[in-house]
Amino acid sequence: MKKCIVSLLTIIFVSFLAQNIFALTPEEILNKVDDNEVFDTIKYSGVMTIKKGSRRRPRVKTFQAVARGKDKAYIEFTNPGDRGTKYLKLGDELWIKGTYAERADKISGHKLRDSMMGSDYSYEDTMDNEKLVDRYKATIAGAEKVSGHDCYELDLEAKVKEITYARLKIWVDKEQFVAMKIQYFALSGMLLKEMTVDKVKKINERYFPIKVRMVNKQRKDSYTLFEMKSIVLDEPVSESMFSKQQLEK
Amino acid sequence: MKSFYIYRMALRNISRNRKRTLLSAVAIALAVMFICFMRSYITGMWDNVRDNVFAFQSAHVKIVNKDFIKEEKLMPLDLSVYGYEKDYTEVMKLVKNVKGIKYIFPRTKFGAILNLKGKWENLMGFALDPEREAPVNPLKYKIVKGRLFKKYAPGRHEIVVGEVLAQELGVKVGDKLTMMSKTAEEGLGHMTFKIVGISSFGVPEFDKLFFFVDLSVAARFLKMEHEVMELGIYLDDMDESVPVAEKINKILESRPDNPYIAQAWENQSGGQYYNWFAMADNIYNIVYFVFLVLASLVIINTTMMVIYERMKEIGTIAALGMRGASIVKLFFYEAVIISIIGSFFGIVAGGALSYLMSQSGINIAKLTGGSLSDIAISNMIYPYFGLDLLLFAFVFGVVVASLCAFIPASKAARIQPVEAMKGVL
Repeated sequence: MKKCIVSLLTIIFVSFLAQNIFALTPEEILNKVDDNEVFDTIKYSGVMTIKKGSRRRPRVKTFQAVARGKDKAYIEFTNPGDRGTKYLKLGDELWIKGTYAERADKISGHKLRDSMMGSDYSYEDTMDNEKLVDRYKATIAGAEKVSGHDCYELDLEAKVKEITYARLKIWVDKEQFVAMKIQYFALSGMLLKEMTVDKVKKINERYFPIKVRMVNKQRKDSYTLFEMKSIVLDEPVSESMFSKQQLEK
Repeated sequence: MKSFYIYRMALRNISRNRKRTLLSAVAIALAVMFICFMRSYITGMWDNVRDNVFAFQSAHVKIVNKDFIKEEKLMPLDLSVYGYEKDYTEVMKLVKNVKGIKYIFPRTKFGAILNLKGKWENLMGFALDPEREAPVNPLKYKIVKGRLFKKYAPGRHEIVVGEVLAQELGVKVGDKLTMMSKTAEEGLGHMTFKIVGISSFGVPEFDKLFFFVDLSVAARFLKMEHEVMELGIYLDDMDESVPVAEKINKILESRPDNPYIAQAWENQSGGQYYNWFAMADNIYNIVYFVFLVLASLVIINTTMMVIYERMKEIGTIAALGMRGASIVKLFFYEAVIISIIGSFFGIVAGGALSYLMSQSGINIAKLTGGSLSDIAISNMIYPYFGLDLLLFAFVFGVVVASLCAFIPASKAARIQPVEAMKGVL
């Protein structure tokens, strides 16, 4: 009997130790998310389905995208209404070139926060590939199930001043370490947007969200479904893709 | 005493003291000239504002998408007139036979931005078919440099920019501008335009903000090949705008799930134009009333002074046997004859001035130092000229002068000859 009690206490003690010693810190969780979602290079075909209020019909926009790191990205739209519209991100600058324009125009400053092609994504949102851990300080707020996945609930406060979203609330899948849901807050505490992941795909040993829904909480009945197809991660990408000459071709 | 004799006496009195007659007639003539010209100027000014608003903003009736009205300030290009199956011309065909409609013009007004050395300029585009709109929109007559734009052809995207805008941007005919806009598909419109003309409507607000482009070019820029933002309707009689809009709406509503609505100018933008014109009319009436009072005071003052000055004469003729009504008649006739002469010369001078100004125009920007630059009044005002203007001023002069002769004359007629001769009233 005495042995039984000692064994039971030992098991409880060991599992308590294991929970605390081997539990992940918020930074470790963020690092795992970044490892999954931040890429060196990416190529994909994108589809954006944009629904805005009581408009006639959802808009569907298709595009080809290539990006390298956090500084370089190139998007070219291919749907009939926007065919030939191109975007090039070079560091903090975003260059735009339309079908009928003879030269590219630079978008910078507050204009980067405007809606991209009428979607619920801003230009900044679509070009973002920075590590969360570099920009936010995280604390664990609890645990919750999101779309059937057990998730860590984290509160993220911005470490840097010049940032679009001062606070994030993210729900990270405990097994795959994918941010299944993110709420984006303004400095005032107002909820601006909410992103939820509809589909995750395992690519090169990492879990990558390939279908996400962004809801603009400031607009009524508005959402954008963002889907990535034919994704190629971390393969070499030609540098010429990211030049103004290529954009103005 | 018979009226004929009194009339002859009045004529003799008028010619007897020519200086006095001249003073009265000149005072009346000046007042009539002033009224004639002020009416001409104010009418010309408000007509100018109305013409600008009807030509650029409201038309007489507009057909737009019902949902567009709710978000009008945001100018959402996806809430357009796109027809039923094919394009917007289906709506034009549907309503064109409504009685009272003179013209229907497809138009698109849209916001655009221009990157000017890193600084974003907000502009307004006005896409139209200039040939079709010629009877209403005077664009082709307002080109001060270059020419009117042509229709779209591959690589040909021509625009006309306002004179003030061209000056601010430092551009000239032949230069190119690259502009951006949100398209009807909520995408990005990005086009390089060649400036082929500079327009001057003389309305600083328009000349600074607007550029003009052919509908076929805007269709590519904004991805609106089969749609426009509005159908501007002009009527035979603009006062019929409300009933005509109702008739159009009956026809539109006969289509299942009709997305369009016709709005008379009075009801557009929450009645903004109507309220604005009503307010302008009130201001017009108050200002004009003040002018009328001022002119009347000149006439009254002169006429009464002349009669009071002749009190002793009234006493004398009364002592000689002329009484009551005859004395009043005598002075009334004198006043009528002098006022007819004065008013005639007044309308000749005022009419000539109004006519000349209606031809040459008045540059109010120079007169006011450009202080009217924020309202929809052209820099050049063309005063109104018409026979009704002359008739009104003439009648005004005669009636005011004649009526105000009654007051002192009837008073004088009631007093005793001795008192009148003493000059007591």
